[in-house]
Amino acid sequence: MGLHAYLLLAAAVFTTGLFGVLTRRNAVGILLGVELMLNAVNINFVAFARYNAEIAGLVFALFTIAITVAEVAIGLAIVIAIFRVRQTVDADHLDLLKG
Amino acid sequence: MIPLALIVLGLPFLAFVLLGMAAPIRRNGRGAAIVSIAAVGGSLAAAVRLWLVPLGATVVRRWEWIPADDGPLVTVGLYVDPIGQAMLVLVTLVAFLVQVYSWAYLDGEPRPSLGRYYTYQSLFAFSMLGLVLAPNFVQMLIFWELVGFCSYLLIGFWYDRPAAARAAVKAFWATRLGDVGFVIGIVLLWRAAGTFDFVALFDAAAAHRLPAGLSLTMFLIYLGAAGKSAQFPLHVWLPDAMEGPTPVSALIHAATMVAAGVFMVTRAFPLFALTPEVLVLIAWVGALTALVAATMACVENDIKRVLAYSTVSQLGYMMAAAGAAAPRAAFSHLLTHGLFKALLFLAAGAVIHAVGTNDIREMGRLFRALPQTGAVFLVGALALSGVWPLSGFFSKEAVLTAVWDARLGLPFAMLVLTTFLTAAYMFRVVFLAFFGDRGPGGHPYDAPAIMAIPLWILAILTVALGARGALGDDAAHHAPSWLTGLSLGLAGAGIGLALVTYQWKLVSPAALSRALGPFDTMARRRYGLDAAYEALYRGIVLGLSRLIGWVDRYLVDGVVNVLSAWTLRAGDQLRRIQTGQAQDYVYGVALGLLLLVIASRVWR
Repeated sequence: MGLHAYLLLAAAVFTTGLFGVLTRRNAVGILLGVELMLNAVNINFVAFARYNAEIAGLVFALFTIAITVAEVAIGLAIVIAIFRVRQTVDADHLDLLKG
Repeated sequence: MIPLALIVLGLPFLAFVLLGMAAPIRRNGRGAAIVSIAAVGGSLAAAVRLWLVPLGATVVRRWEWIPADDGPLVTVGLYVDPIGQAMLVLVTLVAFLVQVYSWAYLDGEPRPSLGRYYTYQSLFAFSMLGLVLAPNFVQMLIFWELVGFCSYLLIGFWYDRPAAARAAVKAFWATRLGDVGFVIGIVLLWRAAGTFDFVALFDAAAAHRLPAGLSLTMFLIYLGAAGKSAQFPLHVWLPDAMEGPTPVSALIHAATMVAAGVFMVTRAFPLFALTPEVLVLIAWVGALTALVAATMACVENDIKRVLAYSTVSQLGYMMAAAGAAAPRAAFSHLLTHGLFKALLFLAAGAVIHAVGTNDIREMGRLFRALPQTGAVFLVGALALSGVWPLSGFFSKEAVLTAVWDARLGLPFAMLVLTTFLTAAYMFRVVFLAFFGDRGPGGHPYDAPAIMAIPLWILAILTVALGARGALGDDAAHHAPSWLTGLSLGLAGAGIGLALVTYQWKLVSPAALSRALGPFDTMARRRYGLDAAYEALYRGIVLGLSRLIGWVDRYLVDGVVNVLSAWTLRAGDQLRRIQTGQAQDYVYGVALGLLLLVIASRVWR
């Protein structure tokens, strides 16, 4: 299989994730969307690493996975904290930044 | 010679700098007075010493100020001639006596303000002496403006009185009007002659090397003198200048600064002599000033304002003499007038000090309460009226002779009439204030010695100058005998009129003013000049200020207000974009990124 197929897959996963981030009402769903986008990036890293016979892409992918874990941990903690305060995790109601 | 002149000039300057810089001395008041009096006293001693040096020719010393390729463009220096010698003595003497007198007169002032007074006095003495010693027009102009500035400061000395503040501004404006002409005249003269230097200008004038057509130039220079010496119609500021303390009126607005215009015309006479038509104008304006001011003095009830109008009137005499090509007569009247008018003002100050009012109608029988002041005032009044053998008689006669010799018929008639009016208004004051049948309230008492001594010195000098004239060392100027009789007779008639009207009350003043109806009304309205200037002021200055105010309020402020309103509205509109929804922001980021990608594709 050529590089194109992997890139197409990554693009599909990325847009799916972006769609989720933009449209989900539930904060946990938004976090899931972010995970998808990050994994699309990972697919790109690995695909280019193989294609260019370059180890750096794989190392970056590893880093991304580690950071993703931390991000999910913090993100879920924030979601729980918000829920404790406001009794909801519906993104439509979280508009404290309104100008 | 020159070092002596430098001492005369330098001492008051040092006193001014010391008082200006050392705030503790100045704020102490009495300390400032001692510094200032000591400086001007030293200056007086040096001036007298300088006066005693016989002068063969004019002594000039110059230093380069603005260098140029072909010789310095402007020099500074000292110019000493017999006129200057006498003027230096007059200025330092009157300044010294006035400063001593002020010690007692301004006793009630707060200390810092007394210090301020003496600081100004020192600056004035320096400026006036610099004006006298100036060897060229530029230096003269600088000191000319400095004395004007000191006059402004001292008229407005009680700056918390609105009338004083207004009078100060008025004096500044009215003299400035003349000074504009002075500056333009000096520059025109420089273009014609290529120098500012008196010696070079006089040499050129004597050798007929100056181009023709200097009339306008000399007229403009005369304008400066007319403003400073309160010539009609620029005299309006001088009566108002009486808002300043009385010693200031005596020094600046009677004896020295107002005489600067006459002094300048005398000094620059070789140049004025080139333009006979300007001289005739000077004589006419001088005579008119003398007459107009004398009529206004007749109806004034404020003792200081009577003296102020009388000063204007006497300045008119001096100018008339200068215009009649007799600068010596003008200058001798300047000297005698400086002494007896300072005497009159200081005596009036002592009266005001004693009774606490300026209004002569509220005074009366003061001769008993204030015998010393009354005596010296009488000496001054007789001298001013031109009664033999006091100093005023001789200088006034010299002026009249000069005007007669110059065949200026109508100006001569005006001046002779003024002689009569002068005696009448002066003795109106004398009879109303010092004699009469009503006494003032309170218990007035004679001035303390420190005020009385300057008065006596001035009175003795007035008599002594008269005695010198009576003993007749001035044989060069012989008045026709009918003129002596005429002027003495008119002075006597004026005194008699005042006596009959105000002392014996055979004629009531009201009947007199009814008989002279239109003249009386006009004089009381000051010939409408004050009103005319006020209308001019309101019309031009206030109109212009309103226009500028409108431009500022509606155009300049308008632009600023519109811009700020737009900023506010734009901010309000932009505020509504901020929904607070995190997802909307992500939309924005994604859209922006997409646009960037597309843009990078399109404009590669």
